[in-house]
Amino acid sequence: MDRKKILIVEDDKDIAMGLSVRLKANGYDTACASDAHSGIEVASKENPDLILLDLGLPDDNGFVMMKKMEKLPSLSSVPIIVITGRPQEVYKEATVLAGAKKYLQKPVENQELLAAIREVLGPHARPATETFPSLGRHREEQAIDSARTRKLHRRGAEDTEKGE
Amino acid sequence: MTFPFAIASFDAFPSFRMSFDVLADKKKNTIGVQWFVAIAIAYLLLFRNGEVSQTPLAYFLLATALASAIVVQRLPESAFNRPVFCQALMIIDTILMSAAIYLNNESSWDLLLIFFFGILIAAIAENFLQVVLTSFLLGLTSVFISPTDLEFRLRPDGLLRVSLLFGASILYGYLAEQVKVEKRKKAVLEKTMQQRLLTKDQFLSHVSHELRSPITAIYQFVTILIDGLAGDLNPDQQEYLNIVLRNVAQLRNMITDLLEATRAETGKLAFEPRCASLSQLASEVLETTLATAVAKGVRLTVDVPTDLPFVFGDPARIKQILTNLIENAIKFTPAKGEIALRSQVDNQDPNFLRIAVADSGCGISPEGTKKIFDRLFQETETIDSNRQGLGLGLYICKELVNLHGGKIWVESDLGKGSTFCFTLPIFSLSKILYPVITDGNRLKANIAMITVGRIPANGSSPWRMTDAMRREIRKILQGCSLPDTRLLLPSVTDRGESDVFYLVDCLDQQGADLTVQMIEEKLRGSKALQVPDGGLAVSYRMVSAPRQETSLSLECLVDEVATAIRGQMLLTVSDGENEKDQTYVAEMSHGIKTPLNVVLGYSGMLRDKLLGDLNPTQEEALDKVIAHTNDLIVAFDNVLEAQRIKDRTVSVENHELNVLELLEELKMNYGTTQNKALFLIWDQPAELPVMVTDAVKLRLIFRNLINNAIKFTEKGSVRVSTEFNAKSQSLEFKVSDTGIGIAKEAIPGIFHQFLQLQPSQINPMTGMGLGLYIVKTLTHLLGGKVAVESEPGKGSAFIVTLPAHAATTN
Repeated sequence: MDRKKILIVEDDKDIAMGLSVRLKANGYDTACASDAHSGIEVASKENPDLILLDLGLPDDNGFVMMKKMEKLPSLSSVPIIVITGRPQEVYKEATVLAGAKKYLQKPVENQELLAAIREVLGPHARPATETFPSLGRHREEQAIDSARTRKLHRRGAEDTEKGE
Repeated sequence: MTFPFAIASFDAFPSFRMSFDVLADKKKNTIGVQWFVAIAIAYLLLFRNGEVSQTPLAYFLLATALASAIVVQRLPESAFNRPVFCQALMIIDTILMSAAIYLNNESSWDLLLIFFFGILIAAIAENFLQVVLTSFLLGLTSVFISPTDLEFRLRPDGLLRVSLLFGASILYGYLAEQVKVEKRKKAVLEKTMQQRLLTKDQFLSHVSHELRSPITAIYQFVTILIDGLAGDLNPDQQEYLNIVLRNVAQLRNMITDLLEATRAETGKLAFEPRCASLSQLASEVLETTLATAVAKGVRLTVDVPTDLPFVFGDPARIKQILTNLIENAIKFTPAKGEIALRSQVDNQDPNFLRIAVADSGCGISPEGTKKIFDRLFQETETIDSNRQGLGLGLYICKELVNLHGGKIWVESDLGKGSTFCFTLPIFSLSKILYPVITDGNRLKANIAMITVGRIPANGSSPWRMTDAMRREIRKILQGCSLPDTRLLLPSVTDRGESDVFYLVDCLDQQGADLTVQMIEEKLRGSKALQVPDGGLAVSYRMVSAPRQETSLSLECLVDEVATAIRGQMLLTVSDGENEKDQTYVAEMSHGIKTPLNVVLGYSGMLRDKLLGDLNPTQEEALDKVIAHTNDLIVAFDNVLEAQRIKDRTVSVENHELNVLELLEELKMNYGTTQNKALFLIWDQPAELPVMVTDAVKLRLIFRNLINNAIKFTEKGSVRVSTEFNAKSQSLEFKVSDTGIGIAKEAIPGIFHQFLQLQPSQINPMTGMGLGLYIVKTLTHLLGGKVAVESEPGKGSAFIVTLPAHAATTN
């Protein structure tokens, strides 16, 4: 299994779900968390290869979460891409200083997002299929999605699975 | 979280004061003093002429000094900000030192130690008096207590040494104190300005978040549908979704523009009125519009004499007005028609130029002439994407002309053509100065004119100032004026022959001194301003107000400034900030309604399966698109309303309103967008009195409350109930949910505009942002009140009570 796992920490469940569908369609495994606290919890359990982090989270903000992660040896090396609606003029510098690899301004275009992920995870991280997979493939991916991950998915994500 | 970074970037003190900067850190200084005392006592007691003092008192002193040093090191930072604590420490130190000197009683080295002690005490002393008192006490101790050396110290050379050391420590204390006072003053000033910057950043940050989150979700789900990730689509569906996607892209760009415009203080979209030549602007506009006119076979003539006085306005904006009017005229003028652009000094008000764009088109009906400049977007909440032709540009024209302080109107004969006229103020230095330097009928007491000019490098030719440098200097100057005084900032001319900047600000001598210092520091610290030797010189002049009649003194002042500002200047009145924000927001919101309606309308058609069947996943994705588009509409109205509230331009337009109809409309809005786990329940009596209120505002209140309830409720229901209270003649609207609820402590804070919260407190409120603030403010505006009931974990209810001046009963 050399599929990479991406943890999405985002409080807007619809955005998290949208990201998750998009990333899965491009051959990544995903896990979701809706606040900083559960973000760290899920990250320690799932060992993601990359974290997509929103700055405005309901409990702590993204900066605090980054700081907390830095102190945990198992998580300190996981690369972080910040995706936020907050203006980059104000936050970009601080985000990079805090250790994020990239700063993406919402709404981020799919191509830009995937390119950023590829850049951070390295050129060989992607599976061979570059194009969008067919529905069948999508379903198959979800079948191998571990039960553990599914439990962590928000209701929205589960609905998609049901709908497929 | 921007705090530490923002503050760090502000730190740019010149190096000669660097040596004093250590004085600012109280904790470090205090620890230093304690260790010094401990070591000094150890020295005094252990090495008295080679002997070691064995008395228990000596050990006690030593132990106390060491203990205090260790304790101080472990205390939290906050303790050192308490003056009582530092004073107590100083007294203890002084007693310890005196006692040690007394016990030592032989060495003359103590004098030197006393001197150093004085210096260190100055570092933690609260004021100069404390320094003097401490030094004096020590001096006395050293001279009179130590018996064996007394003889030596009372000899002239001994006395001289004592008083020299004593004096030096006082002098040092004095200097240190001066620096500290100055620093404190500066800190207050910088803090105010930072607060202003931060407030602006925070406002933007929230607005940005509230607009960008929904557009993100919309984009994601539309692309998920288009890429077939939710299931296959037929060609019609595909085509419609592509239209939606194009409009989403347009929305995204507009949001980016809007946020940039709101953010820009001196940036590209800023409104910068200056001295401008209308004839030049007119010929530039002609160049860009001629092609369209020729293509349509319309003759376009321009009659703007070059000897007309200059106008005071933003050239880009004036061009925008002219372009809009001419393009509008071209659109409504048939082939072989004629359009003329004319300008003259307004015969009604000689302070204005009147500009007219006359066409030989179809003309406008008399009713039309009244409504033509109206804000169309407020009338069309419903889906109506057929709004082309009239209006889009004219509303913006009106706003822009108003921004310049002019008027705009139209004269028209149906069938014969119409003439759009507007006025722009003629450039006059005294008029621009007037609001800045007067206070009611009087001149302000303190007016300072600060000049920033170029110093040529030694011997060589003067260095060149680039546009980027000018911009940077302007930015620095704008940043260095006090937030609550208005300022005028003339700068360089278009042709670049003047590199002198003037800042007129209402400051007294001290304030001007401080400001000049600050400007100097900022200029020196700026990376964009790497200028050669000599560089830039900052100076100021106090413009004194003669104690005479207002008109005369005003003239004197204008003369004073005018002599200094030679040639034709670009003038920037930076206080136009508020108006600027408002116009941009208005302008953008105006344009943004069209793509929003397209997204909403087309998604609705797809969702209603008018173009083909959908699978449940696709249905859900479309539901999400629609829901987030509704969020975005409300977010936009909120931003607009918040701007109006901030600018105090919010007005209530009361009309008779059938509340039942409004509720029905809301029901339609929310009806199709609900997911399966959440029910919206509408609960109202069959009859309600007709209210007299502002329907637009009431709708926004409702939508905010409902959106808020939906956002914080995962499962269960949101109930919107309406009741008429006959006793108090009021209508009670209650929006209750079964969501996460609000903690009791948080309730008082939720209606505050987010910027009143501390940065660390913002996060729990992220989702609330502008919405509830708007609800509260609008409810109060409509004469009602709003209350909250909540139980954490069980849900919350917002109750809005509005007076129902029942006109007639339904």
